[in-house]
Amino acid sequence: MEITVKYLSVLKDKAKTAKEVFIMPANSALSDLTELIESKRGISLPDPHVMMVLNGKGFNQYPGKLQTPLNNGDTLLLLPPVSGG
Amino acid sequence: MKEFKGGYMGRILRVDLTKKEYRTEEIDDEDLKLLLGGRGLAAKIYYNEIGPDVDPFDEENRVIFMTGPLTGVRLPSTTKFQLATKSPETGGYLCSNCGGDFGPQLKRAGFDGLIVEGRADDLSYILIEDGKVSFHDATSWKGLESDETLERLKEAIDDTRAGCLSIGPAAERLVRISFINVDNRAFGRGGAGAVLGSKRLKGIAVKGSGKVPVADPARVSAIWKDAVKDLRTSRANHTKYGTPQYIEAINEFGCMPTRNFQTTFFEGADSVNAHAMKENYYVKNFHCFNCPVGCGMVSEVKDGPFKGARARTEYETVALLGPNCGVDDFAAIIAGNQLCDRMGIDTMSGGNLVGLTMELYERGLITKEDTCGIEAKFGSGEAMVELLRLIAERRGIGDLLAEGARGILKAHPEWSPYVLAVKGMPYAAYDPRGFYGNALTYGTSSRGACHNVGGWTIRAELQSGDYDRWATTGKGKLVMQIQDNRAYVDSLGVCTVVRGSMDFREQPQSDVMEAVTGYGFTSDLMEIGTRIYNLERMILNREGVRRKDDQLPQRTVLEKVPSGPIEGKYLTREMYNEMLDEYYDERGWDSEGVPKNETIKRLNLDTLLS
Repeated sequence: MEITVKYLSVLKDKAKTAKEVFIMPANSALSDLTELIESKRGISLPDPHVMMVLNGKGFNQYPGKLQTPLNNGDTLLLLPPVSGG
Repeated sequence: MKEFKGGYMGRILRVDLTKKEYRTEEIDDEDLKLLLGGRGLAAKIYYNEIGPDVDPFDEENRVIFMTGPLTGVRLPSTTKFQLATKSPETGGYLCSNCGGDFGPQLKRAGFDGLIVEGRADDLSYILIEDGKVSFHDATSWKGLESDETLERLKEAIDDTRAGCLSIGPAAERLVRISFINVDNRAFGRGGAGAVLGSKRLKGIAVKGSGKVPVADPARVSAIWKDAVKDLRTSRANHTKYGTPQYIEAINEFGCMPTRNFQTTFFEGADSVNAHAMKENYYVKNFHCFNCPVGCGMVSEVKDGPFKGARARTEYETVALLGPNCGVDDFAAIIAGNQLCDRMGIDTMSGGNLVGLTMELYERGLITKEDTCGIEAKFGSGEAMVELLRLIAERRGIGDLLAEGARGILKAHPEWSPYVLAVKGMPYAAYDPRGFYGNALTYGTSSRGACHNVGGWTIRAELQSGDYDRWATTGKGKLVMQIQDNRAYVDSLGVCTVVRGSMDFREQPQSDVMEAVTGYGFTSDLMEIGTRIYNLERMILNREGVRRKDDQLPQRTVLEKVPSGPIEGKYLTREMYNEMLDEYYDERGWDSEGVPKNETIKRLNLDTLLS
């Protein structure tokens, strides 16, 4: 299945790319993806200084957290913590 | 100042423009214990002195400037001071927060606050040098742009390090979204500039030879070192990219205001994000007073039709002059930003009003005759800049737009489907259909649709396992806590970007306040924030605000998101009112949004305001 990862802000600088697609086996979990990201881009996850947003929700908000199953077409955003106001 | 060993000067300067007189007033320690200073103390003075029948342009309106106990102290970014006045844009209570050198210099001159009242006979400026105030004729400065006026003020007081504030030509024309320029920072929202314009006050310069005392200088110095070390890593991204770094994130989250908040994802975001700014326009970082972060991104256009335009680009401005107007030309955004700065109008309300104009034009509800020949279509950077100019100059439809959202809706109630504002203040740069807590902040902010005063919920709604961004449960308590945290931070005199380095969060533990003031404020800080928020609500209630005024505009609650990452999301009125009910309950307010007697008593507001 195809999983899109987008790197925003300083994560783009670290990864040296804005976006890429990972081809993953069916039944992969988020932790499988983060391992691939670490080995390819040198970004170790989870990291308190990196937000992981899977399909529009923080990964922490899924019951499975890092073990959340992935589905074909999912998108993971990696970005520094946002704050505003 | 028996209770405090530092942080405060203990006095307020009151200036009467009508009589050309001034006097000093002592501050009651009890007020400071309950309200801290800054936003809190300014709100109390507003409550006592600006009644519900005072019009923003009446002589009886005041502009209340108030520093906090940390303003001017040697800690990171202790640049901030607050303003309270009756807003020309909303017609009601306005609180506003600003940086610059003015606040620290006012304290060095011996004052925690400055109240400006009355009206000068003709355009004037004021100089404040230590305890002395002088009144001067500014008729030759009529029409001067706000930044040039700051330079004239520095010459007049003969000190380039003086703190200066000014208005631009838009405020002289009483454009209701005019700002006050403070050392090239801004009291941006609510039209406070037009209040000074109505008072015929072009500017104020202040300098002082005193020092801001602190209770424990050694401890303050140690806190400074630790905070600076923390900020070099925790705010490294702000130093590198400033707030434009959020363009990408907010767009990917699917809550970017796009074409007057019609949609929530902008296809041209790559052209207006922080990387585009840094690669093509960045000149240098700008550091506010005492700030090691330096998140101001000074940007300049090097070629093309906007060559030479220069501005410090911030997220809100980029989003509202850019995607909200369909504009993907960063050079045009910088040009629009500069025009707003020089003429003296709020970029946020300006961006909203231009987006509105473009939608009206594309729907055929206004024509080129209204727009003085401008083809006011989404996507045109040139049109965006020229429409801002029309507002600042009150020409063509600009004269109506200069009346703000309230004035527009009074003249054209049929345009209400296209106006995104609460209590007369247009939205900040987040579509609330993306984060429902954000919807509640717009509805319940003390000054209208504001993400600062109303509380920025996006991080919690995205990161915390306790929330779902599209659920209504729990948002009442979340919004209340963020609002109260912000209310006390706004009363301290420190910038919100650095507050984490000194632990000014919802459960503060640090001894910063004790080190500066010698008084045990820390455990009371959140309750002080709650007290301030309720005091502001009492002001709003006195001005007639009830539940009906906490509602959201039509587009947010009647239109589903048509496309993009959050296509189909629909925040209904019923869902919004569920959150509002929870919020009122958490606040101890009745179903109309009026604080109950037991809430007022619990917070000592009955004795404080007696």
